[in-house]
Amino acid sequence: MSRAWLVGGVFALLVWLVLYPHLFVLGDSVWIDGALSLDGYRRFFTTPAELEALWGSVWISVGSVILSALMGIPLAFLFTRFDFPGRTIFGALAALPVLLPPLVGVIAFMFLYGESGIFTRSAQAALGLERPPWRLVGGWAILLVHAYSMYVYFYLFTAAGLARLDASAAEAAESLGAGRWRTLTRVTLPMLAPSFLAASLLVFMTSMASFSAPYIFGGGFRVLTTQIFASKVSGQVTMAMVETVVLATVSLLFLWILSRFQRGREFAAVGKGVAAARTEIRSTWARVLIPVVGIGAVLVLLLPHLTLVLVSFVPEGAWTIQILPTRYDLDNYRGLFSNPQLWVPIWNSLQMATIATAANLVFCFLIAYLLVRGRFRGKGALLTLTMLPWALPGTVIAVALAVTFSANQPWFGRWVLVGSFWILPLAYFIRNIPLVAQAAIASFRQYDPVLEEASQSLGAGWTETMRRVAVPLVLPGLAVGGLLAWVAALGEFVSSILLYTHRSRPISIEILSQLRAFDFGAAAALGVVLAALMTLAFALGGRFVRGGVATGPPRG
Amino acid sequence: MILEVAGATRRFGDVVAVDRLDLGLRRGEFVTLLGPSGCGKTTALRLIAGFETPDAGRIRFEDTDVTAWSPQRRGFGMVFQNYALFPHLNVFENVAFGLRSRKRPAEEIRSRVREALERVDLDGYQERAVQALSGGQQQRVALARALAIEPALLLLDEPLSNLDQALRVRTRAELRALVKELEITALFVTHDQEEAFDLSDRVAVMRDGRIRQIGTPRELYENPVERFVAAFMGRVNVFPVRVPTGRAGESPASRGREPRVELSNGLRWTLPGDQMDAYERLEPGRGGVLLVRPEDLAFRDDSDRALSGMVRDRRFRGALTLYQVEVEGLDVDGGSGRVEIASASLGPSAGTRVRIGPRPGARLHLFPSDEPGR
Ligand SMILES: Nc1ncnc2c1ncn2[C@@H]1O[C@H](COP(=O)(O)OP(=O)(O)O)[C@@H](O)[C@H]1O
Ligand SMILES: [Mg+2]
Repeated sequence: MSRAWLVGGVFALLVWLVLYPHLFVLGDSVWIDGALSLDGYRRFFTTPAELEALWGSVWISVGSVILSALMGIPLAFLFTRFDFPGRTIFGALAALPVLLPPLVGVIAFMFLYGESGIFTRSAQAALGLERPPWRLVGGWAILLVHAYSMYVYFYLFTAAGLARLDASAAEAAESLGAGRWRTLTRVTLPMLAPSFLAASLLVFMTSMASFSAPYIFGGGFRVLTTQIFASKVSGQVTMAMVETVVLATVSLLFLWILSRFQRGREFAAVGKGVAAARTEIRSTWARVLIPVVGIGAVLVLLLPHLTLVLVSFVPEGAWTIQILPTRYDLDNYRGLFSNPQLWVPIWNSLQMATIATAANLVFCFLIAYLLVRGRFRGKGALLTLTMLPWALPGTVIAVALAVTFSANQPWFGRWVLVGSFWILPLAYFIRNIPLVAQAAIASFRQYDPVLEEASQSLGAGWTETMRRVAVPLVLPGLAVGGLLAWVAALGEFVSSILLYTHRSRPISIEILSQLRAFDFGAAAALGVVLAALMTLAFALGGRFVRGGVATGPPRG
Repeated sequence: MILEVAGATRRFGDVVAVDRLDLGLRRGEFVTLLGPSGCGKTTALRLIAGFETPDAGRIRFEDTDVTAWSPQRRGFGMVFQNYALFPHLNVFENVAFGLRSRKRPAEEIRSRVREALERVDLDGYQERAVQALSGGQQQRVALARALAIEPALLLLDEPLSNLDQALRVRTRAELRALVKELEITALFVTHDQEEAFDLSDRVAVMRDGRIRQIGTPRELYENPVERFVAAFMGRVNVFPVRVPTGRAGESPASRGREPRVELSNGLRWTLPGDQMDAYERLEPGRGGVLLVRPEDLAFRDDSDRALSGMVRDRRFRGALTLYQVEVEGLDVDGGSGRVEIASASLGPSAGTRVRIGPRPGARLHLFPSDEPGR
């Protein structure tokens, strides 16, 4: 039975790559100097710095949820409930930050609000101060950066919820004499609760896994992801493993709690809903205020990204102590093609992302086929394994791969991949399994399985049926998933920083080293290239997408 | 027999979808599985096609046991209820699908697709997208696709049920002509009695996963073996009856030569001789049901055997006129509670008092009333 082989093979590969490496992390966290010991955990829970990191991760995540909600929800209301000129275009722009890799967002933020950022220096000059009016470091800085990009989850989910919401419920409440405020608090907001919960879950998991923001803006502020990195780099193996186990546990725990909240909270609209009509703004002051607030807010949110583009045109040395750079040219972009220091990472990233995505497409097609069409025991386990990389921070996955694939024990399924080209494509592949699998699952659900039977009745075997019927029908959806995965792999930073080698360093790592060398222009140009590749991918992919916003797994 | 199904059973959890199915098809025969929705017709067809594996029983095709064969190895043509056309392929490629699987040369594929499309009157539609076709055209593409592989057996699962009434009747006639011309052995599934009668050499009536009776349409209509079959074959009056009790201790055999049953209003009807067996099986005092088709009743003035009632409704139905007659004190199971009579002539209008009874030579069917279900 070829099908039994398929189930076995897919399971084996998932267990080997998704589950197995974490056993080594777990093992190494309690295996100290050749003996079983809980010493690592005792040290973790008695060291103030470690507890600080744990607490820091949790409160940053909670804070990010609150702040993102405060930004995203009102913005969504503004853009879905009111009609004003520029609504469509600015409404779409507000969702833009979700397309950018976190690292690019973070450096864009730095160019604007950092200690020597354009806005900071402007404020300093305007106030006539000796020193910058603020330093962008510590917990609050991380929180701000998070909210700046993660509000998009609340924005998109609330907008989608509002679009789905049955306007007649609100109208019924108003006809029963409820005032506007009462209708909002008693009817509309409760009905949006599922959207809020879903967004909260995504923001929470994303901040928990976040690495770029705390790494660049943290200063002395500790969170678990950066703590793991620091321990690993300084060779404290046991502590790194313990921290990794703690981070994984906390992430899974919160995922479990939040998804329990979510269950049974879906309000199915009763009957055919009537989409809410957009309100035309009546009072004069509101007619001015609402567009100004809405469009203004979007501009503020996009300002960092505009800054990034601006800085990418600044040649080295042309922006030192000035508020605005003094010269602009195309040197940085020329450098991308002429300077191997810059184009090698681009080439690396393109190669590694493409390899990982190709593997994702094939493997996730098979997973989805089994999950949607298969009849076998253990389907729940297969689904859990498939989605596990979504729930685990990239740092955790990278550490697990680092310890597993740093030894040659073929009989135990371990080979030395760390230090080779292949470790990063492998990491990207694993991290993107949930995303691509979800796209493939959705596509498989969209067509009637009887088509596969029709193919068989016409004489096609299983492989031929897959090739001639399933693949062509699943491809559009799968391609969109693949595109998202490719884009994510292209800008991946979190696991790359733990696993890269100099020769196969990806774009994100090069951005970091250009920043370190204070060549902001080159860093910005690399960031713009990433953003451009992504925009291009989405423009191509948009032709496949039929409605719905795909939200990827949390990225750091 | 080209196809023989012996004792095929398929369970889904507690549901026995197909229960010890026995069925044989002769070469060139058109057989229909007829039964209400959920009785297991599709499952039976899928067992034969190879999409389901029987929990018990065998399937033989041309004297070979094919029970364990995959669908593609069996090579039966199949037309699905919703057609299952490949949405990513045009009409030509849909019809060519099976030929490509068989790796036929391009020339042959082209001519055979054309031939198949000609048969269903769609030549010239080769390059069309299947979604752009009407329901009737899609149905014909599905048929052409199944015919193109020249299957030794054609399976059709309610292929006409998604068409509107007028188109359904027309397509039915075309299908019949086509199948007869090609001398295809076909197994057809439907819940529509008229469709089954129109198309089939033989009909198998299914209920709760079992075949209750198999025979020519005429056999089923005239000699149903049970109430369910009789009722499924067309309109029928169901009269609860009982065997009149004579003196105490009377045995069935001593009830007399004349099988007589008593209607609920006390009137007694004599049954035709062919009902003697059924009559003998009925115990005195135990109820039974007497089934009489509307066309076996007539307006008549004679004697004590006639029921007296009032015409409540008269409907013109082309060749026949259908009357509903209300008879005081008489129970009629199901339907309107009135007696239905069909007559070729235009008779009494609503409001007329009439006397009705079985016409001479009428077929009356006696069944026990505790037959499970109804
Ligand atoms: N794949 C299945 N899983 C579970 N139950 C099924 C399945 N297929 C059919 N059944 C059940 O078997 C019975 C017969 O179904 P089916 O063969 O589709 O009937 P029909 O075609 O006569 O309407 C029904 O009760 C149906 O619910
Ligand atoms: Mg059916």
